[in-house]
Amino acid sequence: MKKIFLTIAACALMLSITDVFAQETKIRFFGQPEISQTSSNEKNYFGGVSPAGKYIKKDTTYHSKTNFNNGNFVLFVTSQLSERASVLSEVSFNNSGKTFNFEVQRLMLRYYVKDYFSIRFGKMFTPIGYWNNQFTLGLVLQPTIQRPSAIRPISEGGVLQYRDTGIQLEGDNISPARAFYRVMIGNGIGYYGSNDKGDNHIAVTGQLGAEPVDGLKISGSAMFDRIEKGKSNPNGSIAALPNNGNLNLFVASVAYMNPEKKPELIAELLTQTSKFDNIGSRSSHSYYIYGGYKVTDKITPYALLNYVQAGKSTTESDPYFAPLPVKGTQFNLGVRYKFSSNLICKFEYEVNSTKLFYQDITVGSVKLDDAFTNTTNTNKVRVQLAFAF
Amino acid sequence: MLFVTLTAFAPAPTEIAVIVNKENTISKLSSGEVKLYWLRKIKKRWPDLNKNIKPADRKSKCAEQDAFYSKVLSMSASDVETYFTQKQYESAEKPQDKFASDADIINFVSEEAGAIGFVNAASLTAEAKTKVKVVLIVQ
Repeated sequence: MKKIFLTIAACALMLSITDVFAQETKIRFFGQPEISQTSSNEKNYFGGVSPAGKYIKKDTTYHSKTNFNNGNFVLFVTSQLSERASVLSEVSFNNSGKTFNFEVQRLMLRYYVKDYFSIRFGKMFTPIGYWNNQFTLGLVLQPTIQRPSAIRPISEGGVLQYRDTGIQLEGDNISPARAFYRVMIGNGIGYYGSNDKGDNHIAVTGQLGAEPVDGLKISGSAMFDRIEKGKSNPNGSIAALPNNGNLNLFVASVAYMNPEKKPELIAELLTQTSKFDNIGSRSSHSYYIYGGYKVTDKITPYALLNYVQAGKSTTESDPYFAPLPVKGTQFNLGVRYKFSSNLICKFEYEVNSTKLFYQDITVGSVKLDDAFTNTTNTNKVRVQLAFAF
Repeated sequence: MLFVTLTAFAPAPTEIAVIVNKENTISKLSSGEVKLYWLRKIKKRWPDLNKNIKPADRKSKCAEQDAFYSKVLSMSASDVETYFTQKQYESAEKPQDKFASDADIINFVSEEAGAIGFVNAASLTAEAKTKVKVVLIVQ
């Protein structure tokens, strides 16, 4: 399988190289190797009543590891086919342990009609929020080592439909407020362009925003999709969703990223409601705040606070994300050093706390097991060298 | 005396001419407008001309590029590169074309109806001026 993928990739690359001069094709590779040192402790808090009375029991285990990770290797090809038509492909290669992954992240054609109207067709990032569309998997462009957890790639545990195959209508710089819009219709959860859909359902995603001041983008996005019984969530952490239902996602974004100015800010709030036919509505939400300050042209210290809550409370889960209620808080403090636009080094210290809330197990009126909380605290030091050539 | 000597040997500031194709209906642009057009920030195509805006840049660091980036764009070289890379990989937009010399930029602008470039004003010979239109001079 690996050989087939490599052969296909090599052929595609050779074909595209032969067209370099004919169609103004640009090919670039992005690499992002990483070194990380992780220490974590996992605590289980058990509490309940036994024949001997009330009890509280704590179990703690420690782990520590140092890891050299070669990260994603990303191949970008863009080409201007005509005055108005251009294409883009983004392909990632990754070997994690002994497994090898090859994935077409994006493959799209964009046709520019007017300043206020363009059409994209193919596989692309869904227009939710700022980060998802602004920063690709070529991490030279991304301000931090990793994406905020809610919009991570599926290979890194992400659960949202952060990209889809379909058609997008879009327009930018409308009126002096520089308003913009995106409307995408796509296959939806669980389908990435293969021909295995059995009905006419489509997912609709829309975004409206404005850039009233250069670099300041404010937007709101909404995604309406269905949850199909028996399908897994995008990253497969829920093997089969329990029943049919609907999924609504709303994202509010504010970003100030102006290369001429020193401060950088991105803040996004994502809330999702999963409505299942059998158990009713369940909700989850996540927010993150990124802030940076360019001390010089080359050095930018930054911080990222990221919170995720799957399930409304400690007792009610959202089966779209996880079988148990989960809460996670992550704080990253880092510094970015820009050797050039094609070579960037990022150094980060990360503190992460994840809580899983296990529920009482009862059969009829008999309680078989008590509820308990599993808490994992992780401290991580990471260095990433992101480059493009 | 020392001041006079230093002043005499100090390099003259580079005077930049921003040029467009002769077919372009625009005759004059402000520094701010050049920035918006060259970066394709608001418009992707020239009004009236119905052609894509094609910014022309120098391949490597030089006095003309330094002057254009700092005086017109107010951006560093790596920020300009990042800006175009981001546009390219977000929306499949073609980045700026790059050339080795002023003469190459003049040729490109004279041949491409939608082109906009910058050259040292001293490079604009009488013959060059017949090929392209100067829309801004930056001291």
